[in-house]
Amino acid sequence: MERLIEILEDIQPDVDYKNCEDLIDAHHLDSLAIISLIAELEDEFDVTIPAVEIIPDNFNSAERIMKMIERLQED
Amino acid sequence: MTLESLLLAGKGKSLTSFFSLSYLLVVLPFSVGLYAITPKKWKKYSLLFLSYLFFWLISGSLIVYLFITTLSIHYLAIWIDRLNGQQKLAAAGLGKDERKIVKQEFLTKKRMIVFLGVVIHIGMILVLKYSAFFTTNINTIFKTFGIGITLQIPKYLMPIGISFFTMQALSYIIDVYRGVIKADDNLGRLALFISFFPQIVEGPICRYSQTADQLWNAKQITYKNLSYGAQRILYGALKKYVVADRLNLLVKNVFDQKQEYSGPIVAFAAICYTIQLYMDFSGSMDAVTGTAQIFGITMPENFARPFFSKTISEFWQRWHISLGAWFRDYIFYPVTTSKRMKKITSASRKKIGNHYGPLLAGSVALFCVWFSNGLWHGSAWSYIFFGMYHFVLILTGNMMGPIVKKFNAKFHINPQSAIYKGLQIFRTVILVIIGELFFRAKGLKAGLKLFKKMVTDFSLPDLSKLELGIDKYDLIIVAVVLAIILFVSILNEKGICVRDSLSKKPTAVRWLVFYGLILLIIVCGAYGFGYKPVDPIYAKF
Amino acid sequence: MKSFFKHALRILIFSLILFIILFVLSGIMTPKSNNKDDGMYDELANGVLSEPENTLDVLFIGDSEVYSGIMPIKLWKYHGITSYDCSTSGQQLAYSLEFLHNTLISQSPKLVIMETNAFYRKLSFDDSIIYKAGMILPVFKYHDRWKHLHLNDFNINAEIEYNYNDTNKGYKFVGKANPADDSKYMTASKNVKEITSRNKSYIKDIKKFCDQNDTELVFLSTPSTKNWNYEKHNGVQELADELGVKFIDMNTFADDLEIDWSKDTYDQGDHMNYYGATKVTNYLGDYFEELGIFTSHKDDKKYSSWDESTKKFYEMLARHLDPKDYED
Repeated sequence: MERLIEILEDIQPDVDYKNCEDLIDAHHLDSLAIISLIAELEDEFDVTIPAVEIIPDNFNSAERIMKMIERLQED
Repeated sequence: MTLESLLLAGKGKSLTSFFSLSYLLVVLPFSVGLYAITPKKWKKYSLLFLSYLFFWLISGSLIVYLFITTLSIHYLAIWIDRLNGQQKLAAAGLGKDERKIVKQEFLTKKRMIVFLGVVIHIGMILVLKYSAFFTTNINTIFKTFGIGITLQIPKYLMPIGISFFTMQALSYIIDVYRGVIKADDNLGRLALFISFFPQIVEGPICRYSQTADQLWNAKQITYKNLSYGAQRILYGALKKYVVADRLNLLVKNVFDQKQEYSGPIVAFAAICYTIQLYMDFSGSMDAVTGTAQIFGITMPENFARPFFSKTISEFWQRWHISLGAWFRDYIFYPVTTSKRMKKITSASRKKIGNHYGPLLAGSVALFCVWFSNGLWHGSAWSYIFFGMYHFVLILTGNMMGPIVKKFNAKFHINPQSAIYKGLQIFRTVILVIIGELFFRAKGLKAGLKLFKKMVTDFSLPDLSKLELGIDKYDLIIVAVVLAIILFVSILNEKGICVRDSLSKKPTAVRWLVFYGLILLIIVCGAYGFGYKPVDPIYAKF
Repeated sequence: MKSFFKHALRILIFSLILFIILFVLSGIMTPKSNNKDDGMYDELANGVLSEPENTLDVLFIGDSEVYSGIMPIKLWKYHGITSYDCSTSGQQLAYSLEFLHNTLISQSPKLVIMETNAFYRKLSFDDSIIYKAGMILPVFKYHDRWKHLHLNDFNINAEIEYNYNDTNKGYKFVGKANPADDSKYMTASKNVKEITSRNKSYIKDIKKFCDQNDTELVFLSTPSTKNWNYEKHNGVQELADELGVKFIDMNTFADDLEIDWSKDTYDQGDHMNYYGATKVTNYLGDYFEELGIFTSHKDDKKYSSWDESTKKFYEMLARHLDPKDYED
C-alpha cells in the first residue's frame, strides 16, 4: 500500500491519496496519469492490467487500486 | 396520420424529430397508452413492439440491418460465453502455468469471434456510410496520376441511427469478450437494448449494463415519471423551437449560400451555429431522456453543461458524453495499454519524466480516437479535419501542462481564482466555436475560406442592408431563452435538480412556470407559417 | 384509483386553463385588418375579405397557377362576372380549405373553382395539424406576430376591419416570356397518379363545405408543361368522378386554346404569363356564358368599383405592354 502511494505521489503530487475517494471523478488523475500509473503498477507488482479494468470504480481511491492489483495477482 | 399511411414502411421520416407533432401527438401518446394498458408481465414486449414499429416507420425495409446486427451479436456473444464455460472445465484442477496456457488458447478463439463481430459491423458501416467517400478519393488520386480509370461511386441507402446502434452493438460484444457482462441468452432483451425507440435515432449510446435490465424490467407508469418526463420534453422543445430553429436561417445563409459575408458576420454565424448544434442535440437528448423517464427508465446523460469546461479535453467529457466514453473505453485505453505501448511508456517515463513519459502512447491513442471521432460524424474531409483539430488542441494542452504550471508559479498566478477559470472557459468556448465552423462548413475548402474571412476581414457590414433571415426580435428572444437555460445550467452545476425543487413549490407557481414555457414555445417558436421544419442535426450522422 | 382520478382532474384543469389562455392570445394575435402592415399573410389573396357582402359570382382557389393564369378583371370587363383569385404560391389544400371557410362567411358564389395542381402537393401531418389548430386558435397561425404587435391588438373590443382590396383581384401580372419544351407534354397514358389519402380527405372536406353552402365545386387544371401530365389528369378525373365534380383539364385541349409554349409562359412551362392567362381567361369566360347561370352586373351601380378596378388594371397593363397586346 505504501509503495502504491509513493507511485501515485510520484506521478501526481499534491493529492491526499490516503483519504481521497474520487481520484477519477474529481479529475485528480487524468488519462495521461492513468497511462503512467498502469505502466508503473505492471512493473512494480508484476501484473497485467487489461483495458477492461480501467474504469473509475477501480481507480477512485488508493484502496480500490490495491484491491484491483490483488485480484489480478491471484489470476 | 391515417391507418393507411401508418402501414407504409419508411414513410415516417418526420418521426426522427422528437419535436414533430407526429411524434408528440401520435407516436408518444400511442406508445404511452399502449404501454399503460399492457399487463405488467407483457410491458417489455410492448416496448419491444413499439421500438420495432418505430424503426419500421422511419426506415422501412432497411430494418433488415437492425436484424443483422441484433442476431449476429446475440449468437456471437453466446458463443463466447460457451467458450468461457469450456475454458473453466478445461482449466479445472490444473496448475497455474498450465492454466495460463489453456487461457491463452481460449483467448485466441474468443478474440477471433469478437474480431468477426467487429468486422461485420465496421464493414457494414464502412460500405454503407463511407464507400462513396473512399471511391471519390481514389478517383481523385487516379486522376492526379493520370490513370484513366474512374470507379463508379456507389450509393447505398443507410438506415437512420446506424451509427448509434452499431456502437451499442459493438460495446455489447466487446464487453462480453472482456467478461464485464455475461452474454444475454434472451434475444428479446438484447433486441430491446439495441432498438429502444427514442434512443435509436440520436443516442445516447448506452451500454448494456446501463439500460438493458431497466428496459426489460418494465415498470408501471407513475404520475411523477409522467410529469417529470413531460417537463423534460418541454424543456427540449424550448431549446429546439425557440433557439435552434430560429438560428437556423442565419446559419444556413452564411454557410450554405454562395454570397460572401465579412469576418464579423462569419464569426457571428459560427457562434450561432455552435448554439444551434448544442440546443438541437441536447434538446433531442432531453426528449429521449424525457420519453424514457415516462416509461420509468433512466437514460445516461449525454451532456453536462459543456460550455462550463475549462479545457478542450474537459469539454469532450461533457459534450456527447456517451460517444467520448465509447472511444475512451474501446479505443483510447486498449491502445495505450497494448503491450508495445506499455513498453514505450515505461521506458520513456524513466527518461523524460512523469508528464511527458506517457505522452507518446497517449498521443498515438488520442490520434486514433480523434480520427475515428471525425470520421464517425460523416464521410468528408471536413469531419476528419474537425477530429484532427481537436486532437491537436488536446495534444497541445497536454504538452503545455507543466510549462503553464511553472509559468503560473513564477508569476504568482492563482489557477484557482475565478478570473483565471473564467478566462479558461472563455478560451475553450472560442476554440470550440472555431471547430464547429469547420464542422458546419460545406467541405474543408469552404471551411478554410470562411475561417480566413473571419480572421482577416474585419470590415463591419452595413447591417441595414444585410439579409440574414433573422431580425432583432429573433435575437432578443434567443437571448432570453439562453438566459433561462444558463440559469438552469448553473443550478444543475451546483447539483440542484430543478424539477425536484420546482415540485416543492405551490401549484400556482409551478403552473405559472409551465404555462410560461408552453406559451414561449407556442408564441415564439419557429414553426408553422413561413417555417420549414429543421431536421435534427445528429440524426444524419 | 382515487389518485388516478385526482391526477386526471389536474391534467384536465391544467389543459382547460391553457386553452383559455390560448383563446385570449388568439384574440390578440389575430390581425385586425387584412393589411400586410397589420400582420396579415398573403395580402393579395386575402383582399377577397374586403369584397362587399354577397357580391362574388366565382371564387378561384389554388396555388400560383391561379394567380398567374386567371384574370378576374377580364371576366368582369367582357362578361360582367365578379370573381377573385384566392391563390398563394405553394398553397396547401389545408390552406385552400381555410380560404374557403373565411370567404364563404360573407360571400355566396355560385361556383368555386379549384386549381388541381395543389392536389398533388405534399401536406405533412404536422402542417395539417398546425393549419387545423390555427383555424380554431389563430395564435397557432399568427404566433410570429409577437414581433410586430400594435397597441390596438390588445384592445378586446377592437373590430376587425377588412379594408385592403387588390385592384387586380388576386391576379399577378407577368409580361415576359421564357419558352417551354413541350415535347413530352401530356403524352397519353393510362397510368393513374394517386392523390394521397390526406389530400383526398381535404378535397372531400372542401366538397362537403361547398355543398353545405349551396355552391358548386369545379376542378380546373390550367395549362402547364412542368406541373401536369396524363397520370395526374387520370388521378384527378377518378376523384372527380367519385365526388361528382366537373373537371376541366385545359391541358387536354391546350392546342384548341392555341397555347403557344414559346410565348405564353414566363418560366419554361411552369406558369402562364399574361398572354397565356388571356387565353385561359377567355376560355373560362366563354364557359361561364355557356353555363348560363350568371347575369351580368355591368349595369348594377352596386358594382361600380369593379369599373374603377378595371381602369386601374388597364393602366397597369399600359405601363408594361405594347397597346396592341391588351387592346381588343
